[in-house]
Amino acid sequence: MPERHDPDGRPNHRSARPEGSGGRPPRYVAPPGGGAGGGANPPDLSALLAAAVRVDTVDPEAEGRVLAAFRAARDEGAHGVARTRRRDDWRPEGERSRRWSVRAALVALTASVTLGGVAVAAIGTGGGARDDNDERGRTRPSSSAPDTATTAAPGSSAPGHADGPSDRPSSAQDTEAQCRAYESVKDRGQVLDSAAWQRLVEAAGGEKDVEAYCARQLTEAEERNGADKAKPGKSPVPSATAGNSSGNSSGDSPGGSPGKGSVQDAPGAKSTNGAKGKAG
Amino acid sequence: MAVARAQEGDEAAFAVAYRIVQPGLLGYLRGLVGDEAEDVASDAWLEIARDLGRFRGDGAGFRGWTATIARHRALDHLRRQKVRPRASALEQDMLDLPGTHSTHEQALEALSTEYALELVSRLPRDQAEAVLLRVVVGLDGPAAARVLGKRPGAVRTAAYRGLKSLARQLSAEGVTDDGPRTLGESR
Repeated sequence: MPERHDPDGRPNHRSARPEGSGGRPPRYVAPPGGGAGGGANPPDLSALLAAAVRVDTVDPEAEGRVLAAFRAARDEGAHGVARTRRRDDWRPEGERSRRWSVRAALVALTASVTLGGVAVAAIGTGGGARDDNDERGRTRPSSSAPDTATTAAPGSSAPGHADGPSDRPSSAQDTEAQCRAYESVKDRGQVLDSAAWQRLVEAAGGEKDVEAYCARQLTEAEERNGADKAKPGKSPVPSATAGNSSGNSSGDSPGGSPGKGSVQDAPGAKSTNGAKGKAG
Repeated sequence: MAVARAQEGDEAAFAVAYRIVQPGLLGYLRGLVGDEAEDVASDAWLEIARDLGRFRGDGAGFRGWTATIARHRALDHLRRQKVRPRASALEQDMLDLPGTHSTHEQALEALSTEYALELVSRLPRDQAEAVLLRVVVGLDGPAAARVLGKRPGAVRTAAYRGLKSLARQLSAEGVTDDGPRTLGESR
């Protein structure tokens, strides 16, 4: 770096150090004010530092390698297709921020559309599940219809479930629940088109056989459950007594009932039943 | 402008840009990784040559862009080596003590560069980098801040403190210095 050392002589003129003018050129000179005034003289120091640290000799071999890499990239066409990333954009601030704000807006738009789609999909599945529950749930409150109430009451008698809730396979439970719900929705034609109802109809062997099928299912369920009560299925006649008994029995063992999905509905049916029983 | 012409495929223009940028870049890298600077600079320039088409900006922007690439390569290197930059500079200093040089004057000149690097390497890392980017690479404050990924105010303060600290050390050693300065004596 010989050519860089010529300017190094300059500080001699400004040097406050007497020994600086000695036999060697002082690369680094103390600022005139000493340590306290050190910050006052940074330009000189900067120039000295730059002169000392910069490497002004070019290594031809290194340059040759770099230029070869340049040619290779250029001939591959890498310079034409490469996309400018944010860290490659060193244009002045205003120009850059305008350009990037457009890009940022596009990214935000894409992201919102994507996330929106995900959200809609999530709503779709979640909504479907909720609809199902609503259908089942709605049948229980609507068990103000006398026959539904009577069918619901025995099935949901708490002691049975409390005794052996895990004995019954879940499919039987589902069928049971569907059968109860069926009573209340069978007149609403379009509801029966749904896949769950179609399965029920299929299992029954035809739409007109559903009632019989359900009666069978519920009776079986009762028999599975009802070793304790030996309740005779679901005839409208024992409605009042069934309501009372179920009310009583749940009063006997309240702890057993909550927990199972179908059992949770029992209180609703029970209360309706109980009211009916009192009214009747 | 050389960079723009180089981006259009002009090799001679790229050579010009290289010769303008390389001295400061190599000085900066010497402050970061000591005598590995040539290797790291070589890696950095391969990346620069490859990614030239991505760059947008003028000559000053090109300095900042290349400094960023060089810095990343240097930090990669340091991570691989698990060696602190000041340690590597120190080892280099110890190996490069005068006496192996042919003439007295050459020894002094070589020492001055090494001594400058040694002083810089004594600074806290953020101050050393700020000083090197501002003074040696020749970046302005905002560009240096962008290279370092910091706020311009923080980099300005770091550069100021670094230079002040360097001046203080020089003045302190200047008082006690009454002979050819060598590293062994300065320690």
